[in-house]
Amino acid sequence: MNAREVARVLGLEPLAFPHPEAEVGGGFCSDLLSRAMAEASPGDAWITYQRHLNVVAVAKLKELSLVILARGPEPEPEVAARAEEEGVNLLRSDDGMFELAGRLYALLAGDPETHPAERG
Amino acid sequence: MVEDLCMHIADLLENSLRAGAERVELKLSLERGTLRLEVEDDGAGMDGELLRRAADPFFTTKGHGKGIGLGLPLLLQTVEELGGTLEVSTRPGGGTRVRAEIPWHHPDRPPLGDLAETVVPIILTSPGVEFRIVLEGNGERTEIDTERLKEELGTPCLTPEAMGPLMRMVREAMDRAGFKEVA
Repeated sequence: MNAREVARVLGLEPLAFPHPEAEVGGGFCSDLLSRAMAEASPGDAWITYQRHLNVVAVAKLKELSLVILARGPEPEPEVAARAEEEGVNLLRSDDGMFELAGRLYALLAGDPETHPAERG
Repeated sequence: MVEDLCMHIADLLENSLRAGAERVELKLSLERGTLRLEVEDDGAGMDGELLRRAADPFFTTKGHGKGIGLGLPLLLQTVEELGGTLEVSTRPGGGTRVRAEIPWHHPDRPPLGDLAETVVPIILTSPGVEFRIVLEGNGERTEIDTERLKEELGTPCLTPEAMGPLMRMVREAMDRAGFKEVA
């Protein structure tokens, strides 16, 4: 499943979406950048509350398929601009991390019953 | 934010070694609820442009394809998010000093981590580099100086056998200075 499809099903708002065809292989949740650097795998979608530019750098470093910013304030404009420039997919959601993680997990596991956006 | 503050200390020490430092000083002090962390070296230093780029998380001096230089940007993020301060003094050929102040009691402050486990392996794998560790707090001040240690031991270099005693020295100094997670 690619990033465009994940964004559509989860109702994510793109802040920077330079590679919508990027394949999403799994998911990762953490607000600790050190854990993301140590544990996230290439192709993962990373769900985080963090808005710092370093998130984009870590996503690039780890070759993640997209970063999903869970419910919270808008990031600084520089963060989205730099994500676009560096080729990192950066999207936001009004859902919290718990709900996003559950829905993404179900989506990647292929369980349509737990996709509210799909049922509509 | 990173897992513990010792990750920042390791990054700063590695930066000093990469800059060709022959002397590196690490100071940690805890006074009136503020942790002061300082790393000073006599390495290559940076000009204005290199310093600007060192604060950019997409820049690296480690060589193409070997990763992104995140040491300073990560420390800057920690400091910003905890309402602390970061100051970098450097000049080409004149070494670098990084000084951070971090509110110790901020609820989001990462734990300090294991300082002994962080610095002692770096010391023992860096022959030709002298380290001075200064730990202050609780009205106590301890200095651990590798040059002085070697003189006392009558040896030109610290061997792996020094690992245990050095770790103990750092841990005892940390205890004396009051670096406890729950104050």
